[in-house]
Amino acid sequence: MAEGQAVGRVELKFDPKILEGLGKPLKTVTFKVYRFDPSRGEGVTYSTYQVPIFRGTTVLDALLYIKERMDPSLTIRYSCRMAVCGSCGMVVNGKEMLACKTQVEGLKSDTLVVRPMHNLPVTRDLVTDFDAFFKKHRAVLPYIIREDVDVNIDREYQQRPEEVVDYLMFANCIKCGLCYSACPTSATDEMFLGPQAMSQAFRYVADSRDDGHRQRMDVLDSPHGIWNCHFAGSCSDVCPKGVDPAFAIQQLKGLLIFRSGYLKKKRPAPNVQQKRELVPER
Amino acid sequence: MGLARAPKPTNRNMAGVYQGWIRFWNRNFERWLYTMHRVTGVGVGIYFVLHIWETSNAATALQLGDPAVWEGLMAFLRNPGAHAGLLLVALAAVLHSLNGVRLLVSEQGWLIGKVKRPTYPLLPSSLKGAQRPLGVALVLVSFLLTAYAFYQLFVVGLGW
Amino acid sequence: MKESKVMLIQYLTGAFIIVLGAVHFALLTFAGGGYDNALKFSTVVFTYTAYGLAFELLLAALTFHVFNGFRKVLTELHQGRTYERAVTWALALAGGATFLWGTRTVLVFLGVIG
Repeated sequence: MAEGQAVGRVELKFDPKILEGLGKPLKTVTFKVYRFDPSRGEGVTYSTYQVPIFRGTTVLDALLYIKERMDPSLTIRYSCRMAVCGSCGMVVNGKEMLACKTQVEGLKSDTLVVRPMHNLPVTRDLVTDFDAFFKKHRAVLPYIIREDVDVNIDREYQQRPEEVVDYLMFANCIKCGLCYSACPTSATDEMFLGPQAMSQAFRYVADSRDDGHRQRMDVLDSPHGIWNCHFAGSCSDVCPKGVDPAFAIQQLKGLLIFRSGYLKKKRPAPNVQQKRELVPER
Repeated sequence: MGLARAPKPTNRNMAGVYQGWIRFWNRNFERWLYTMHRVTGVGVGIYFVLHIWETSNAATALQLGDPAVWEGLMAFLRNPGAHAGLLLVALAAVLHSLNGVRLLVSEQGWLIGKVKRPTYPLLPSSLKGAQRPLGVALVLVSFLLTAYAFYQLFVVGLGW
Repeated sequence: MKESKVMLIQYLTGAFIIVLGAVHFALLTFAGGGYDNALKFSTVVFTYTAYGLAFELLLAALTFHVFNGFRKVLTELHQGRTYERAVTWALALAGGATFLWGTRTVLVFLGVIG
């Protein structure tokens, strides 16, 4: 090929019609937003705003529009705007969702009632306190536990690609709290571990590198642990990352009752050095 | 160096019995089955206690050698209202039992789909597993069995 | 008792109840040719005498399953060590009383109690 010649030529057809209406509002949607300010001592009220909605406007965009142009006192929590940080979880028209991921037009309603997630104390307006949530997450020991960690501190552990798939979908949890808000048991049981903590327990139990299932099962097999889940499935229904906590929890139940032999026989994955020793050098 | 902490929140914000246990609409199908299982369980449980008292009258009739103790109670309960109540109990019992079978199976990790590498649109496999069509089938079977109970209670029992 | 053991018994009694409950409903609908005959005193005496053991097993399974179910609902409603202990004991006593009263019925029909 001669220098300076293009490798290939792609004809891009640009249709200006896709830009039509992009700058004009599609409609006006009424937002009824939960307001609570502990410093005022007034209790819960709802403020109403009329917000113009454009193509692609998310609930977060609308709330920021309210905050910037109508009511700067509205308090919201957000960060990445792209459904990876888990900061903007809230309940819109009775359903848990991430505000940055939800398009207003997709909700097909002219009135949106926005409230903070359930079962977590409200700090102010749409912001909730995650202390109890993280405490329950820590309670299930969410890290690899090994007996040989001191001996093999400088070696990586062997893990096949199919062994990664065993826990990968549960590792996608962004700790947004939507599952905890949707759970019917968490609605009344403050001591319940919650779907997020239990799905993370399974993420580590299912990890072939881990050897801490006994300690985790002791936490899970408690009066307000795994057995207060009755498979309502709403946690999996609302999870924005497809973590499927309900799946994890039912698997854990099975491991505790009829498949406890699997846990007794489970041995953690060997490290690289041990694997090499198993295969004699030629 | 300590971080400044926000004051302890005063609004516990628990969803409560209505939002958590009762409101099953605008949610997934399994949430309806959860509410139904809880309501039917409590209902049949209360009926069970009353039923143990009711049937003990037959033993009392036997002890006293007086069938009228039992027959009188049965005559009192042989009316459309009481039989409608029994029909509800029958419906609750079969719904609870058959959903219980579904829970027994799925809570062991069966019929809830498989673990897979996450791909968009990131749908949950447990809600797409065989337990959902099983749930639908079991609810339909429950209504069929209740139809048979209606036949026994009203056609055979009351001569409709 | 560990909660997993309690739940194992809950599952097993549930399965037991489905089988024995089906027997109970079958006796009600087929014994003596239909529901109206099944509740006649003479039919009741025959059924309890012939199937007394089955009724007793159904009673045992149901008592555990029902009262453990009530315990789960009540402890999910409200938490606290004293409250949970009180609920567990109260329901155990109520379950025991229900079981004893039902057993009395069976034993009268089996002729053990006069």
